Amino acid sequence: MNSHNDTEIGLIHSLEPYFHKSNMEHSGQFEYRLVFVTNQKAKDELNIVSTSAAKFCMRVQPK
Amino acid sequence: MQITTAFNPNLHVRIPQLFRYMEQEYVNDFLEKGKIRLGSYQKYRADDHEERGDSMEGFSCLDAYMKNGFLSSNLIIPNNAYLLCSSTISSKELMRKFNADSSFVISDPYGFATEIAKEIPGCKEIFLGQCVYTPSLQRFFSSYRWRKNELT
Repeated sequence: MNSHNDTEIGLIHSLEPYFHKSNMEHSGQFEYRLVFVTNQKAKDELNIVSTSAAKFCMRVQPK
Repeated sequence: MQITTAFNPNLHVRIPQLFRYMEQEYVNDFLEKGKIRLGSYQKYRADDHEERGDSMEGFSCLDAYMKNGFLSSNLIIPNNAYLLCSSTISSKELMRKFNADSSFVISDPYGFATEIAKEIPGCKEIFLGQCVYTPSLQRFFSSYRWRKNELT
């Protein structure tokens, strides 16, 4: 993830973030990430409940 | 979906619909009850699953040309973020690689992420972006590169 706090190069915040991967063999995943930064140490896993987020989704069968 | 900003001229950004592959039980839990699990960078670094794990997860490099010189810095993303990985393609083969048997599409990733963020304690920033793959080991760090004249 590309993020930093250096005001000298704050221009970076105006750019679209992307996530660099070196494992070319995974390029077929066409991965797209959603990253949520918090103000506290992250647990290994976080279980949440959001029925409102689910409203933006629907089940699909891959082609 | 498309986001339009208040900049002049207006900036139109298209975010693709996203596909998430999981076991049917978990897809049901999410779509019916809203239950979903997020993982930290630390977790994905330790994951030895061939497709999910990445020992270099969260390591990055920032290269920037500035007015007074060049800055290059290696960074490790602190363990204060959660990831939700998805794909821009709908693929049976991909579903199989993730040992999944079901999937759902996120038709509005911006709305989805905004709602998810509300349930994460202390969430202060959201980043949405694609992964860029390169074959070189030397480029395993993520980087931004600008031409010098872009900042002068």
